[in-house]
Amino acid sequence: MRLKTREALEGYTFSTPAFLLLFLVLFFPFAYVIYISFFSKTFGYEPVFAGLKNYFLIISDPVFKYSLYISTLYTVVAVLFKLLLGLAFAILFAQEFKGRTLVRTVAVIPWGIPLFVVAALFFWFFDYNLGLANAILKALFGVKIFWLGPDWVVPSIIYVNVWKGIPFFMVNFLGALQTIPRSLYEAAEIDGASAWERFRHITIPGIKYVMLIVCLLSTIWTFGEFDTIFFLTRGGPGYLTHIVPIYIYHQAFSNFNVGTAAAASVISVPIFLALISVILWALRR
Amino acid sequence: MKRSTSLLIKKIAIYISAIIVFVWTALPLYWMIATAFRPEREIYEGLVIPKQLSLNSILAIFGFGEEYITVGSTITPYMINSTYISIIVMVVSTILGVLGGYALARMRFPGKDILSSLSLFAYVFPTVVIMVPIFYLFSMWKLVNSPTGLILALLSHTLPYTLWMLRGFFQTIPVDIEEAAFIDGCNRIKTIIRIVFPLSTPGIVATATYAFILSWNNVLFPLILISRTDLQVVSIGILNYMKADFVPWDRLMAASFVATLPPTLLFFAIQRYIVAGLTAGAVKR
Repeated sequence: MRLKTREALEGYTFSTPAFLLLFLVLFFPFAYVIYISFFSKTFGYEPVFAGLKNYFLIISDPVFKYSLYISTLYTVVAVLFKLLLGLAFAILFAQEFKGRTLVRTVAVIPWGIPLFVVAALFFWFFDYNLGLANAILKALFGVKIFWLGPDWVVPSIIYVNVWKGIPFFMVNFLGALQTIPRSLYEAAEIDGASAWERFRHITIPGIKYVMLIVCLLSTIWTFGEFDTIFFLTRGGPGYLTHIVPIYIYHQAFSNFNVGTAAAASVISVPIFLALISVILWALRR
Repeated sequence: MKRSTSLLIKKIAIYISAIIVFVWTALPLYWMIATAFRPEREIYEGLVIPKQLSLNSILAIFGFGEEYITVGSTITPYMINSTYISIIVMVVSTILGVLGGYALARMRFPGKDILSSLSLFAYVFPTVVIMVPIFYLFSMWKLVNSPTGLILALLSHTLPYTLWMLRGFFQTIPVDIEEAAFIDGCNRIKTIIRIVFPLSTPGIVATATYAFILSWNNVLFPLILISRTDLQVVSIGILNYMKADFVPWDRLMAASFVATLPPTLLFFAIQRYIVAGLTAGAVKR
């Protein structure tokens, strides 16, 4: 009994510094954002209690509705492409061929590059007059497009996100693929299973849980991603790429409307909580 | 005969796919490097392949060969600020993470499971949600435009990561070894220093390195907390190049190249540990 108490005491001693700090810089701010979302507050002025007014303001704001829509579209399409291409890349690198190590190393680089550099990179890559993207289009098809203009900006930011995000999927899938015993494939081949059947009934079940976790993590991070879009478009042109994080930023730092920005932050929390709970569940089982 | 033809087709398909993967990933990277290492005038000639190589742009962002140097026009102060802030964040989050992570992995105390889940939640949670309260609270606490404030904010992101990862690494050390040390008369602290540390050094180093990377790559916190150029970090330094009316493409790409080297090289050094990290639970079962 004494030993148990002692161990508990040790446990608290060891973990208190970390969680005390986290309380100060994370849990308290998190509670505070909920609190302040019930106040009308502009930087420099005293907050005035407003009840649910901020929430009604936001829900009736067409820009916020559009933000939710474009964030969801951006996230779903980007994660889908990352899943498919990440899986394709992983299957490619599971094969043996000359130069595999080199190509695989290059394919992983986007993961290692900071998002702000990825943004700068594509800002230049997509430049209308001098960018490489248009130089290639011009050479191949004789056309140039405004990559970050109204018509193409949404596909372009998705392209950037997919380019950056594939290696995370690929590397995790590759690791999972290697845990599938070769003998399963050999047995299936002897039984006359086609390549598609082997993929469907051996590969997919073998990497199912990794797929689930990777997709959920990526969904959360894509939905919460701020850096590349802020650097590339600032949410523009117009409101076209006004994803939820950009909306929150503009409410707080352009319109100086802390209350509505806080309400917008709080509204997006349940989405994240639900996704994270599924991850926790998947990691536990 | 038929089998060898299908093998040949498979081989050709593999090499074509490998080339596509290589080009898809390498093109934007090539464009950054080609722009950073060529004479400035060549950029405006619209050449895709450089005729000459030049280090002028790289030198210019450090202020060499520039006539007018003002604060913020060179990347040097940004690099220095990023380096020392990331090092402090790394050290603090590793020390607290080792203590807390060990407690979460090994000690039995009420609330342990909640704290473990909380650290994963905190790590996975997008920081945009606490952007508003962090700015608001840190303004009240006089932590805006202060390195301490930025470091504290960054810890809200890195500490949950180190806690969760180190907890995982410590869990992989067999309990028997530690129990043997206990029986031999080692107390808790001695066991940790003599047994646990040496066995988990790679994990601790990799986790610390990734905390450095996370801190270096962060955009949101310096963006909202730091407005003084002399205190600013490199991610926002890049943004300042992009905000110019006439973007100095060669400088932007040179600065991006320099800014991406530390995190990217470190990333490749520790990559295999990171991959084993978050999805480990799913693969290990």
